[in-house]
Amino acid sequence: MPDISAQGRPHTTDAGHISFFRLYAHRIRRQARWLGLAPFFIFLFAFMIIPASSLIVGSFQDNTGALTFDNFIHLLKPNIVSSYLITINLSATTAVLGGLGGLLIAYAISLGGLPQGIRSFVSTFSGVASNFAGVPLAFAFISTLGRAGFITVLLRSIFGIDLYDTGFNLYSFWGLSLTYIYFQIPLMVLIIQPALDGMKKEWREASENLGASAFQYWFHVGIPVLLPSLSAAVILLFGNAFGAYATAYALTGGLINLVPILIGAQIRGNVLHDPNLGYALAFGMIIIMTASIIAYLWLQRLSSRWIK
Amino acid sequence: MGFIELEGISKNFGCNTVVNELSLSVKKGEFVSFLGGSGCGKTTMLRMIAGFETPSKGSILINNVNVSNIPPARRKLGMVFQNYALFPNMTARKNIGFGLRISGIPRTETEKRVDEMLDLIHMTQFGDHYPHQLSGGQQQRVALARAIIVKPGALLLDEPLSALDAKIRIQLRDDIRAIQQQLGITTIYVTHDQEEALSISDRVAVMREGRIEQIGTPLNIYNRPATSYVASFIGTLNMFYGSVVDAEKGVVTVGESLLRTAESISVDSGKTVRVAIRPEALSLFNNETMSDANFLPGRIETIKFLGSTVRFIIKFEDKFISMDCFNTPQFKMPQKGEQVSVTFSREACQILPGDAIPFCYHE
Ligand SMILES: Nc1ncnc2c1ncn2[C@@H]1O[C@H](COP(=O)(O)OP(=O)(O)OP(=O)(O)O)[C@@H](O)[C@H]1O
Ligand SMILES: [Mg+2]
Repeated sequence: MPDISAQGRPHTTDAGHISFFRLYAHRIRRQARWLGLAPFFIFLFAFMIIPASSLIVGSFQDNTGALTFDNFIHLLKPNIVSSYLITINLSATTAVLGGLGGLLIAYAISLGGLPQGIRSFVSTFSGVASNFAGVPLAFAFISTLGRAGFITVLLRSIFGIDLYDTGFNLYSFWGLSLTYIYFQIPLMVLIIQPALDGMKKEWREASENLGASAFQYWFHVGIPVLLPSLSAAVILLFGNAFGAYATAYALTGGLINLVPILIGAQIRGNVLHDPNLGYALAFGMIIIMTASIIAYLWLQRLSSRWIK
Repeated sequence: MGFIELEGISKNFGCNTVVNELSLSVKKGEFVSFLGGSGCGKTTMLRMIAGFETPSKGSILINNVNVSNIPPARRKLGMVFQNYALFPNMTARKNIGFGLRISGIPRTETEKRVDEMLDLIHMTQFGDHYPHQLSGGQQQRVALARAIIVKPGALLLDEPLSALDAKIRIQLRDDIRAIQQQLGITTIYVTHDQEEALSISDRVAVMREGRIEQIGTPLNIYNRPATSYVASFIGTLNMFYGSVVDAEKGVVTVGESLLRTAESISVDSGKTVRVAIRPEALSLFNNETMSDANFLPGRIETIKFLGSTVRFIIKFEDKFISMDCFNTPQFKMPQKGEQVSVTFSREACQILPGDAIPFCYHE
């Protein structure tokens, strides 16, 4: 029989026993660390992996459960294509506009040299406002900019301007965009703030010192350094808008043909009930979201390399 | 007329005066260091020269031109920052070539000069590395090259080595000095490290609370500190309170002992002064000791072996004295607790005004 202690088994000396238990204690401790994450993994499994898999499986089934590709062929129907286009358009519009607004605010509070008090106020407000979505947000907008909304009435009675005569309509694409932008701007402030804080003032000074104009600084340094973070942030805003359901539903009641609303209608609706088509729609949405997240992570990595 | 003239510069932040009526003239090709503790206004002074801060009072002349209204981008000064401040999105090459590129120098010429610079800073093989792929020392070399490639009128360095570890710090500081000498570029160097300042500068300006406390050659600053602040700031120093017995002949008492200085004392007899003696000026009494030397009796408290030198802490009455001796083969090492006689020449005895904070010795 070979000498087992030579194969890495513990020695039988006292000291060996101690190190044996130490070794295992260490392993158990190491595993215990993972144990702490168990609730997270259970949650992930129960509410993400299982639903997503059943959704993907369902999208390849007809209503009898047989394998089919019909659901995906149906995705090419004009109203579905147009709903994807509208959703993408709405998400992109609000991501870009909200992103721009958020960037300007974040720039003002981080590089614009505003007092610390304003900065922490804006940060706190952004934290709250970026989460203010869904029915309450829709209601807030209806009560200010709706046909009988506070501001609408105020403008009409004081200045004699009828918002809705000028072509504005809260329940239209642009009305919905405006509502979305309300939570996109603060979200942008929150995401882009760290990136702007990471811009060293010495870069600006070094470039000035070497004779560069402000334009040359932004062209050669500022924008290239910020670009990955900026695009990542805009992509995140895009995904944020793409998945928003309650705000749109509460505001337009399904008047605007958005993908999340369409999915809702297919899965639990009464008129359009076709869960499998709903699954295929959702599958398409998962693909778009996944692509956004991958792009986001990739860009984040790119920028974190630069801004430490 | 110096190449850089600072004339009565003051800078206030609110009611806080950070630089106070500071004047200095730096000759062309000279290497001057600002040396001082944290918060004494070194960075602020440098940033005013670079143009990033405006003086509240006084004027700055560079090459006989008042630069008060010239923005930093047109002052043609090279600046090196403490945290390197390389552009993170550019390789070392691109960083170095930035100044030439933006001023529209043709590409081939830029590339050629970048190559020369990479060679000068010994980084030829790192040209295509991004800053995050370079060590701190390498980044600072690139930052130096980026500043000097545009042939600036003067080079301004703000604690360029303080973020690096000791070994690289010494190597790079010698390189900085060598490059400065090679190019003959006027340089202002900010540091709080006295050894750094003394070892690379033509002149050192010791700063305190926004003023220059003393300016002079490193030798001068070290051997002839003008004030107790400078004396205590530079190197290790023994300082004792004494009282003047005979100002004319240069005699003071420290405790029970009489000490003689080489020169007469400019303080009246009977007044309190401070006597400063460098640890390396002390030695143990032996048969080579001059007959007119000073003596202090004491007991050896601590012996610290530092390699080439040995530091003794010797108790003299209620005070402690540091003494450094070279660790030569013929050196007879005394024992701890031994009673000894410490001797030093008259010249080693520096008399400073007796005001300011009481102070014994520091390491
Ligand atoms: N922009 C500013 N606003 C207000 N106070 C400032 C500003 N810049 C510097 N100070 C103050 O001026 C004083 C001197 O600062 P400075 O940076 O010049 O010191 P320093 O000698 O470079 O110190 P260190 O060795 O720590 O770098 C400090 O007390 C600092 O707080
Ligand atoms: Mg400083």
